[in-house]
Amino acid sequence: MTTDSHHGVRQYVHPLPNGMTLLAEQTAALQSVSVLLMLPGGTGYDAAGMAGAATLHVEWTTRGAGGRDARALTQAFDLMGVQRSSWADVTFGAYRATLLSEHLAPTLALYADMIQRPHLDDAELEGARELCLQQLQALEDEPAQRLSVLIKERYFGFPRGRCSLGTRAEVEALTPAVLRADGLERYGTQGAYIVVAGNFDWPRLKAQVEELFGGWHKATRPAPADQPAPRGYVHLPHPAEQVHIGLAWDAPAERTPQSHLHQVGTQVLSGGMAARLFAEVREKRGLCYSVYAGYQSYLDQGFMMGYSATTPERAQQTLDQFIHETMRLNEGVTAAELDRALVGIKSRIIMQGESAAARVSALAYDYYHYQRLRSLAEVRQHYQQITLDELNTWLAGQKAGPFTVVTVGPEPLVVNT
Amino acid sequence: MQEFKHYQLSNGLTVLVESNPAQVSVAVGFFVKTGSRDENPAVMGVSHFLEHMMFKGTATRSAEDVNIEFDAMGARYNAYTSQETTCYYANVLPEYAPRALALLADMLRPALRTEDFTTEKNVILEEIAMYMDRPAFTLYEAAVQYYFGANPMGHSVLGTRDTVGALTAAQMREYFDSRYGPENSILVITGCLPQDEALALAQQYCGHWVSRPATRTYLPVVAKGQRRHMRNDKITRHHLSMLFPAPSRQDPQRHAAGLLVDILGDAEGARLYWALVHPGLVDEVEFSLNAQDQLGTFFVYASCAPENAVQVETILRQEVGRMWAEGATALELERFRNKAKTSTVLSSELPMGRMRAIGTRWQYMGSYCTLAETLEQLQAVTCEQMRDVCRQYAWTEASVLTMGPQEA
Repeated sequence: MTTDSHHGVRQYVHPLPNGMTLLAEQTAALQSVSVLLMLPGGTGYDAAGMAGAATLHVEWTTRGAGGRDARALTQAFDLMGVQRSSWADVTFGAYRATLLSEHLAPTLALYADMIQRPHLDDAELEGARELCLQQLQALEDEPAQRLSVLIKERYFGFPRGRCSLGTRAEVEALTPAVLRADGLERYGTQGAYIVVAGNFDWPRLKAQVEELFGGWHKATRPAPADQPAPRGYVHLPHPAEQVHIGLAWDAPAERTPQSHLHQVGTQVLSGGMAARLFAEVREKRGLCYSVYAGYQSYLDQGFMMGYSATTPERAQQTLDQFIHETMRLNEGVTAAELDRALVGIKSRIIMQGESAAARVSALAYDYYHYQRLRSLAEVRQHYQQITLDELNTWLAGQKAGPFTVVTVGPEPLVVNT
Repeated sequence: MQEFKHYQLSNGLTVLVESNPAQVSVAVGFFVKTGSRDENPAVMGVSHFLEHMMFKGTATRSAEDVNIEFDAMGARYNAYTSQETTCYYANVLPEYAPRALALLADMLRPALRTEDFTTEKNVILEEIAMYMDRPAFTLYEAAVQYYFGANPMGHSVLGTRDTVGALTAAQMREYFDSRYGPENSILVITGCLPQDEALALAQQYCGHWVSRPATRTYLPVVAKGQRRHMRNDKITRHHLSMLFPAPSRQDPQRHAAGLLVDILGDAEGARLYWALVHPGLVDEVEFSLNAQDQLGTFFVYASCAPENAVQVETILRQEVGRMWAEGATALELERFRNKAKTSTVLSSELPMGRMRAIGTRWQYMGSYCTLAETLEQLQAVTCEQMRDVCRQYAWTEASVLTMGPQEA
């Protein structure tokens, strides 16, 4: 347990013998509480030919569990006013709920049912599958969404780059028997997290989690091996008003010593409206409405994802300017830019503490990368220590790229790097 | 403890301060009672374009200065324009609150330089193009225009390529002068800034604003049953929309109407969810309430495969008809009331959430509600009140607009 003097915040880490970890952060000022359950076995674990299984399985578990059918389960959550969502990302299947604190215990019990005792009823899978197919079809009409799917596919390849909804052919082939068998080997206990933030009683929470999850064991099979990613540039013709541009490139992984320097650099590049990309591509040249680049990380790999969209006559200039700004970061930043970046990061960290839902995601992220929780004060301190010399020396040794580029729209572009 | 006070400066600016020492940030927002409904059709889009131009500098600040100053405070800031309101806001740590208010107040008296206007026009045109690539938005805008007809509520907030393309800086300055007076604006400050400090800052940075009253014209809405299909062969999905009258923002029935739409059209567990989303007949369905200034609309939307269009519309009409005829159950009311209460509490935990709730309510009602009072209003809704809404607002003569690759 650690105590942050900032507004009575306390953190707890409690490993369970089955490999799950309970992470909790108590903030006295909040009435709400947020819960995030994350189980290894996300879309990156879908076997070849079974893309979409991870997402479909999570949806299926919400359609009846622990003796309650889909309607009864929904009703039980609704009567407690629980806001909820569920999804599969590349690493995890996840369930998140935000609610008033007095309903935490029964809410956790419902999720224990969903995760450990889902009905996985045949008829319910049909509805879930149809919904998935409808969502896949709807993607086709939105060039920005098509871009989002394709840039990940090109940058990551198999297995991590696949669309979380899968493909029509693969989803149609997922029978109840196949999906059930697949489900037995994913979303297991080793490396799973139960994250709670907001208003709760620690001794009661700990006791309940041990009771609900402590005796449960389940394995997750390994993910398929990474295959070489296509990378490079590809254009997808689409009758759109704009050319939608996506870029992806390598970055240091979160737990490398340099990742904080990189993230400050990213803040200078795209953290606010005076940041380089927004200022140079949108404000000064009026080339687009939307332009940004953001950092993400898996355990072994960090990466940047960038986006802009603009009408065809401005698209080439937009892409050129985006790449130019990104690459010239290695020439260094000014003292004023560093100050602004650090203030922006500090602000974001502190204001995140106002929201239980934001904190559960941040706590899970921390534990996943660092195997421990960091207090808000510690995170702020880590960034405040960065000096201009240190940042610019490091930036000078960096060169953004090579860029994976995807365009979706009426005409292809040329990638000038 | 939390404390609310309401002030009016001598120039007519309303200042609302809800101070809460338990919160860790401060939110500042200016709400101006102007939007697309207040525009002459020839300058459609001017409110939204002006919103962009407010960030482009003042007599003493360039556009770059404005952005740099906001970033130097670590501010989360932005603005939005609707049919009725333009709002400018910033969320900052308390040590930056005075600077944030000073900057926003200065911005609200913009330079509107022609050079910035010309560059920013391109950004607006790109924004219009961006939304044109989103079929649901395209349909929504067309549906609103179809429903309201010549009434200015039918105006596009963004404007069109033609109206924005033709806009001049002089027209924008004229619009600003006519709509942005202090009497037509509200300043809201929430979070951990003490009352007396907030008031002093408001006086310091806005006290010199020159009084300039503005009015809003309220034209009757002639809602009529009508139907049209827009053929669009750039898309593969079928989109359906319906619009019909609903309680206004000022109408006490709006709380009942709000829960009614949740029971029918909430994202999860609602009637339309079970009928259409759960079995995968649609990828999306919506039933929502726009409770606005002296008028309101119910909006219904669904997106599906073209071959399911008839079935989906049939089911949609059956469900709405059933609700209108039979009403909701007490259990449904309890479920969706509890969800609405959670949503209200969550929003109140953030200074930004309180700022929006307080500013919006005051703009429409001229009054303030605590969190407890808002929850009481939700608690007071009954099934009979929801039946009254249905009796008063018929759906059968809705305005229907569909869009898809097939012929009508």
